Amino acid sequence: MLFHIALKDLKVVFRDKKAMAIMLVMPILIVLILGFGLGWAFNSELAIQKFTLGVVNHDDGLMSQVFINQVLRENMSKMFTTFVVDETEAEEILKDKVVPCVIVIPQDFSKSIEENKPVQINIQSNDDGQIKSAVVRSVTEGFAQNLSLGYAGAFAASDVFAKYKIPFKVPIEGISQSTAIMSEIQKKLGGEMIKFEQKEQQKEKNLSAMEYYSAAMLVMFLLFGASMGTKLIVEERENSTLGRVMSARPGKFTLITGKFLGLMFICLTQAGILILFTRIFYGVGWGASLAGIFLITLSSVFAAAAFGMFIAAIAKTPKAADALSQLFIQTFTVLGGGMWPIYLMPDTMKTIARFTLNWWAFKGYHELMLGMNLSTVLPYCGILIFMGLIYLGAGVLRFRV
Amino acid sequence: MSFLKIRDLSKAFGKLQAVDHVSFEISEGEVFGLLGPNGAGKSTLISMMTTLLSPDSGSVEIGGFELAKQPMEIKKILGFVPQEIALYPTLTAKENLMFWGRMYGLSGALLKERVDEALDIAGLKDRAKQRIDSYSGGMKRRINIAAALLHHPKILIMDEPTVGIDPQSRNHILETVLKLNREGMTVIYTSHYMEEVEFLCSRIAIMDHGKVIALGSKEELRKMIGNKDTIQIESVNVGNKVTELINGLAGVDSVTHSGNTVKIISMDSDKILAKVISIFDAEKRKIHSINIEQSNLESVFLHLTGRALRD
Repeated sequence: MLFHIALKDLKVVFRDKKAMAIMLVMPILIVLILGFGLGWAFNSELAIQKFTLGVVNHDDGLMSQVFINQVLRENMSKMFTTFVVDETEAEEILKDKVVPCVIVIPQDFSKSIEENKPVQINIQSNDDGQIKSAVVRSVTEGFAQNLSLGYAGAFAASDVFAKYKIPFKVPIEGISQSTAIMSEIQKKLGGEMIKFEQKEQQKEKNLSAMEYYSAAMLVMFLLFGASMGTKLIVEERENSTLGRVMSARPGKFTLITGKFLGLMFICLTQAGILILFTRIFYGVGWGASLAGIFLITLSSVFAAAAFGMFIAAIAKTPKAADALSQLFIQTFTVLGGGMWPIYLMPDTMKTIARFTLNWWAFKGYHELMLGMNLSTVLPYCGILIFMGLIYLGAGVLRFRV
Repeated sequence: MSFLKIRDLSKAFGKLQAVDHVSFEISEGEVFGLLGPNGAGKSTLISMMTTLLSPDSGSVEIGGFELAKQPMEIKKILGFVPQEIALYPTLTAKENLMFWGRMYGLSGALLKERVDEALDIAGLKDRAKQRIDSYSGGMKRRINIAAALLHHPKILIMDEPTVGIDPQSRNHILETVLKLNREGMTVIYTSHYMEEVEFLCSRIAIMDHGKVIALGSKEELRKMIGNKDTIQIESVNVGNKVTELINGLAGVDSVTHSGNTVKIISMDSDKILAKVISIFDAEKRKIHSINIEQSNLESVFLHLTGRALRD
């Protein structure tokens, strides 16, 4: 009976022309439009093309010098060249589009780092410099954060030297012992820190727009597929077919399991069609690991179907189900990198995005597209199944006929 | 011997007592009518009988099986026709019936045989491959009933099965119910339409505010109000003053008004009619029509509750 309930739902949804348009035609068209329209943002040549930026330095401490000379001019020399300007010049060169962005180092930069306080490096950009400033912001914030951490270590080391009376000669007269230790740490680790940031940027850039949006839209429209099934469940509650099933042989467990299985069938069929279509007609490389693709798809479908059950349980009318689904799906998609590239997002958004199933599902497909294997995506599958279980649990508890 | 026994059944939703200590019995092969306005508690009572709701207290026994202990046994002998068209509009009539047959545990050749039989009963065999959303309201209702007959239930519970359909389909449904009953099926039939209940049912329970306020055969119920007539007057702007004046007349049992219609129950309709007309005249209310009916279930309900059934 379970399978009859699930297969009937699959049949009902796939006979609905509007549902088909939303589940299959729309993602295919949107991938095509975004793939061509935003291709420039994913062009790897653009990413490594060297550019120039201005630096306004309000700080007279050692750390800003280290940052400008060692990080910006040495470590990042392949990505950009820098020149120091004052504030008025910075405004002019930004306005005249001589540079895409300007880094403004605050007055207390060195002091804040030495005192292990949060530092804020301001990056100003003009209309043409949005993406480049995001790259620069990512590099500078990574550096500043790691430098602060380094300082915490330097303070601790300094305390240890003092406690055990270990001699440490300050190489330059007039600087503190902790600053000297930090300088040593930074010399050894600073380059590594920056390399990591560059690698992250580069990794994002290696996907084509078509590939990026195929994965992002697949995840988003899986949720829309589930929402079609959700609406069906709520409609069935309204027209008493759910009650009628319950008054026949199946009990509540069979009914709920059948409905959940139905949602999974709907999403799995949709995912299969979209992956095959984008592979054949758009040339999207979903990765070499078929097992990985299958598992991340299955986990994503499980989470999407569970999300659908949750909405079906809390929505009282089909209209409410529609509205709630739209709200959740669009929020999840924006946070999960479905609208614009993840690397352009601020760190806070990236942190919040980790609570959405889109983030993990997309990350899984993304890594597989970059050539990773099954073991890389297994943790993501685990997280998606865990999220699905939470949605499903909440949905089952509130499910009514 | 009683086929269905309901003892002291109650169900509340928060502060609302939807079903309030209801008790009655139904014999095997009986067509039993359940009458009452919206919100009387009929649907809640039916939901408990069909295992969809658990009672707060009381018991239900159908065909010798206790609902609380043997719900699966009851499901095997019970067919339920919900008030809504509980079918899948994008599936054909045959696909719908195949699905519902499977939900009743049928499969293989027996399932096909029962689906054909159900289509026959619905009189829609030649349109079996058409989608439900292409059917008229009456045809949908017929398939809605046919879906409840696939497993040959011993008792059929029908919740307002003729709402919003054409006279031809209504006649077909009423004839079907009588035919099934002649073949031995016990039927519980709820409706707003008293003429249907009067036509089909041998015994009737009238429900209001969650309670059974009257129970008996049509004759027994009519006797409750004696040999009284219902005078129905259509007018305009009937106010409380008019009804109060009529209520004050000697020989008037009760008066209600809904919209432009005034209903008066009286044993002496011949004597009071002239006085009633003069009240309308004095109050400058134009009378459009007057209709006098002998006592029926509507007047019984009016007498018992002071309200019209479809208020």
